[in-house]
Amino acid sequence: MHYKDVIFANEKFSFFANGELYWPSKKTLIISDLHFEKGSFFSESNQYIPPFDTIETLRQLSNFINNHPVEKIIFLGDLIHDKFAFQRMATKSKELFFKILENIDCTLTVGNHDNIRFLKDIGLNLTDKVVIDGICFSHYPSINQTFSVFGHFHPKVKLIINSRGIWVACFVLNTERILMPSYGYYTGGLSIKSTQIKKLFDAQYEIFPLAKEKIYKLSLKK
Amino acid sequence: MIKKGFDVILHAPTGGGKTIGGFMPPIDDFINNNYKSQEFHTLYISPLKALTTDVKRNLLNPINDLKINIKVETRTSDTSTYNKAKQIKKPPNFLMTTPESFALLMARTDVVNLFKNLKFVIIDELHTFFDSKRGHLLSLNVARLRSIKPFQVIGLSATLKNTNLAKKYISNSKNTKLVSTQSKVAPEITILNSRNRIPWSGHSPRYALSEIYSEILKFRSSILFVNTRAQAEILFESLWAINNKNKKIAIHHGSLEKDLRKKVEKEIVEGHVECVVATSSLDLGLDWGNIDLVMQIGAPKGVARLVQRIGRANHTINTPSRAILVPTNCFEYVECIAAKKCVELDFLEDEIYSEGSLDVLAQHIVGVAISQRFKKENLYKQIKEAWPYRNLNIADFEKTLSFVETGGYSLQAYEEYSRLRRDGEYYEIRDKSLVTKYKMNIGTIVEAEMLRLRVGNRYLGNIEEWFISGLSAGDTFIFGGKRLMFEKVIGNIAYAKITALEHQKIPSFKGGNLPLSTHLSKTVRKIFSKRLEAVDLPDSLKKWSELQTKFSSFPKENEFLVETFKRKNGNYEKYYMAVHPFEGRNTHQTLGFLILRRIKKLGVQPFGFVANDYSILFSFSKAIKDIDFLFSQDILIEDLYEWLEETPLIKRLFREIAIISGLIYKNLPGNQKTGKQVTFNTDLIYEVLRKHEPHHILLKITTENAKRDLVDLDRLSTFLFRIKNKIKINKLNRASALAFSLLFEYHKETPDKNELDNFYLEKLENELLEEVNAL
Repeated sequence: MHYKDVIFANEKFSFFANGELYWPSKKTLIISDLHFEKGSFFSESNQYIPPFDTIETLRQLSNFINNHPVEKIIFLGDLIHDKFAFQRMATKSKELFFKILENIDCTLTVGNHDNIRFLKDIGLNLTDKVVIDGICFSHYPSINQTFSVFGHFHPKVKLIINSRGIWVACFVLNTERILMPSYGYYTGGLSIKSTQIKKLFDAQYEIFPLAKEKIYKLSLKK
Repeated sequence: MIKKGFDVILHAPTGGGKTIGGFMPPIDDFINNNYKSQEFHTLYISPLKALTTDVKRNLLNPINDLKINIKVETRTSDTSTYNKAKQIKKPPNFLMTTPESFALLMARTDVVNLFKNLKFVIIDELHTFFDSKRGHLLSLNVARLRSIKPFQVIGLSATLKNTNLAKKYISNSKNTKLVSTQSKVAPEITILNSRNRIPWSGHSPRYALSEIYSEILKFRSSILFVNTRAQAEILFESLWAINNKNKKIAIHHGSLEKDLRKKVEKEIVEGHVECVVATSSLDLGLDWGNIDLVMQIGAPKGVARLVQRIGRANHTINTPSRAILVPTNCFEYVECIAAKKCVELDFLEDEIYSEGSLDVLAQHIVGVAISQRFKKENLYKQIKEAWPYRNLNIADFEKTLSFVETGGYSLQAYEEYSRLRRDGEYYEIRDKSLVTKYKMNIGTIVEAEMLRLRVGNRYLGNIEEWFISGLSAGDTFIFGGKRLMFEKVIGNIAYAKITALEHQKIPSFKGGNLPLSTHLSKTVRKIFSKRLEAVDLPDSLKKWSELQTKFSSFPKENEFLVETFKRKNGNYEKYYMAVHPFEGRNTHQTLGFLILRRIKKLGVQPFGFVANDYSILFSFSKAIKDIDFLFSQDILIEDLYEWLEETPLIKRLFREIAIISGLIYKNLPGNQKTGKQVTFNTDLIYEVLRKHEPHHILLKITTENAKRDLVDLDRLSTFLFRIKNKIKINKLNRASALAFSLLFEYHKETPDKNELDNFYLEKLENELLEEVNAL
C-alpha cells in the first residue's frame, strides 16, 4: 500500500493512498466520512444505485487492519449516511463491521450525518472529540486547539493531465491542521479552493492527492 | 394506396415537396370524412424541433388556400405548459411533435381516449431513426399506440437506400408500400482546385481560404459545411479576417445557444445572412429554398451524408444542386474523388439499423406503467411488435422489467422502494412521484456534461465541462466566433469575457467527427489500388502519389499495406510501423490499442500510436520481426474483450446507459440549482457493479452497445478476415508519402488546432519535403 510519511505536531504520521491516516507510535488508525449506505439511501427517490458501497469501504478497511498493527480506530464522523443505514445494510457488511468493533477499540467523533440513537450500544465509543498528546481529533475543525485533525469537507483537488482536469480526493496539511479525505466509496467532494476550506488553510500548506492507488505531494504557497 | 389503408413510405428528394405530399392523404381524409371533432387526427413526428414549426408554417398555406378548418399546432419541449394543457383539453387536429414529446403524451393516463380518433402518424426524416436510440423509443411508442388504436403510418425521407428496412421499421406487416420519386437531375459537384499546395496532413482549409472566399462572393447565398465545431469556429474566424467585401457571414453549430441559432436561421430565410459556416446542425430539415451553393470543407465521410448536404442547395427539383468539395489534405482529396463518383453513380450506403437497446426499453416500461397498468405477457407481445425489438427474448425482457422494479440486483434488491407494485397479474406504479421524475428525464440523447457559457449578461451556448476544466482563469478560447477569456465557473455556468488576445484554444467538441463510412472506404481503396495516375490530379497531389510509388507502393485492392521504417529523433532512433486499412477512425483506434498490446507481448516497448480515417502509425523502441503475428484475427478478437473492459471509453458509455435506463436521474425536482446534475460518479458505479454483480443487465447493455458503437466489431472482424494472408510488408528507409501524414499528427500529439500548431505543422512538412527532395 502506497503512503507518504509526514511530521505533524512533532509526531510521525502516514497518509495512505486509500485515505487512511495512520499513527504508528500509537498503533492508531484515523478515517473519516465513511457514509455507510449512501448508495442505498437513494432508493427512496427510485435511484437504485448498486448497494455495494458499504462492503467496498469495509473490505478496504479490513485489508488495512490485516496488514498493519491497529489497536485503535478513530472514525472522524459521518460514519453512516442517514439514520436508517443499519436497517438497509446487507448482512455481510454488518458482520464485517461488527467484527471490527469487537476486536478493536473504536471511537466515533460524531458528525452531522450520525444519528446517535442508532449508533448506541454497538460497541462504539461516541464522543465529540478525542485529544491525544495535544492533538484534537473531531469531525469539524477545532479552531481553538493548536493541533486539529478533522474531516467533514471531503476535500478534492483538480489535477490537469493532458489539458484535461480530473478531480481526486486529497489530504490537506499545514503545521496545525490535517483535513482528511472522505473514506466512503460513493462520496463526492468539495474543492480545496472553496472558501470554507481556504479560510482554514490560509498560509502555506501542502496537499496530498490520491490517484490510482498512489499518493502524491504538492506544495502550495500563497 | 394510402386510401386502401396501407402504410406508405414517401421517398423523394429535398425540394420535391414530400413533406406537403405526406400531408395530402390526411388532409384528403379529413375533408372526405367530414372530420369535425376536436380530436387528434394526425401526428407528425420529426427528429428536429425546428422542423415542427417550419412544417406547420408550410402546411398552413395550402390549408388556408383550401379554406379547410384544420387546427394545426406544435408540441415540443419549447411549448408552454399552458398551451400543452390546452392541447389536451381541445386537441388540435394535426399535431407536430418530436419523439420525446410523443413519448410524454403516451405516458398520459388518458392516452386511450386522447387518440381514439387518430388516423395517421407521419414520421419525417425516417432514415434518422433506424440506427438510433431515439428510433428505438419512437418505435416502442408507435407499437403501443397501434395496440390502442390502429392507424396508418406515412414515412418520409429524402435519402433512402434500403427501402426494405424502411418498410420494416414503420410496420412489421408486409403491406407497406413505397412511393419513390427521384430527381433526374444529378448534382454538379466539383473539387476545388487550389493554386496552392494541398497539405499532406491536418484538417485546415487555410491553403484554399482565398479561393473559398472568392467562391462565396460569386453566389448570393451559400452554406459552408464543416465536420467539427472546432473547424467551424476556425473557418468562421479566418473568413472574417479576409472579408474585405463585407459579405454577411454567420456561424451555426449545435453548441450555440438556441436563440442565437434561431436568429441565424431566420436571417438566412430572410436573406440577411449570405453565407453560413455550419456543422451537421444544418444537415436536416428546414426548407430555405434560396441557397445557391453548398461547400463541403473537409472530407465528406459518407456518401449519403454528402447527398443530404448537397441537397440543401437549390430546392427546386429540375435544376442541379451545385456543390464544391474542399479537401484539407491529400487523403481527403482522394476521398473527395471517391465521394463525387459515388454520388454521380447514385451509389449510396445502406442504412444501418440496430437492435432495440434495453436501456431505452427500461425507460419505456416506466412510461407505460405511468400511463396504464399492464400484464407482463401483453407488454412483452406489444414490445416485440416494435421492429427493433422483434428479436427481444423473454429473459432479457424479464431482466429489464426487474431492473425497472427494484434495480435488478440478485442479492439485495430495493423491494421497499420499488417503482412498480404488483396487483395480481398487473403491474402498476407504486408512487405518483415517479411521474415527475420520468417526465424530467425522458429522452435518449445524453450529452457530455455541459456548462452554460455566459459572457456579460447573455448566454452564448453550451460548452463541454471537460474542456472548461482544462482551462485556468485568463486562458483564451474561441466560441461562436468570439475571442473569449475564461474567468470562472460557478455552479453550471462558465463565465468569460470578450478579449482581443491571440492564441486561443478551440473547444474540440467530441463527437463532431464521424468516421469514414465502410462504403466510401471501399471506393477510396479502389481508387488507390488502381494507382492514382489514372485520375486527373492537381500537381501537388501528383507529387505526393509519385513519391509513394517511388519509395513504397499503393496497396492493391484487397491488399493490406504495412510499412516499416526508422527515423532519427534527436540522438536516438525510433522505429515506426504505418498501416493503411482505410477503415475509419473508430476501427483504427480500436485496432491501434489491440496492436499496441500485441507489440508489448513481443517484448518490444511501444511508444504509442496515432490513427486517422485512413492509417495507423505505431512507434516503438526496436524492430519487429513477426508482423503477421500482430494481425492474426483470432488472437486480436480475444484481446478485444480484455481491452474493452479497461478502456475509459466504456465508462462514458455506461454513464449514458445509466441515465437513459433510469439508474440515476439526471434531473430531479428541485435539483437544478445545485449545478452538477448527475450526483453520482458513474465510473465508480460501473466498477462496483462489475465486481459484485457481473451479470447485471446494465453491464450486458453496455457491452453490447460497446461492441457496436465503440469498436464497430462487425467492421473490425470483416477487416481482419479480409486481410488474412494478404499482408504486404514494405521495409523502407524512410517514411512514405502515406505515412508522412500521420507522422505530422504524431508530432502534434494533442490536436490543438490553433495558429501555433498550424505554423508548426507547415514547418515540419517543409522539413520532410526537403528531406525527400534531397534524395
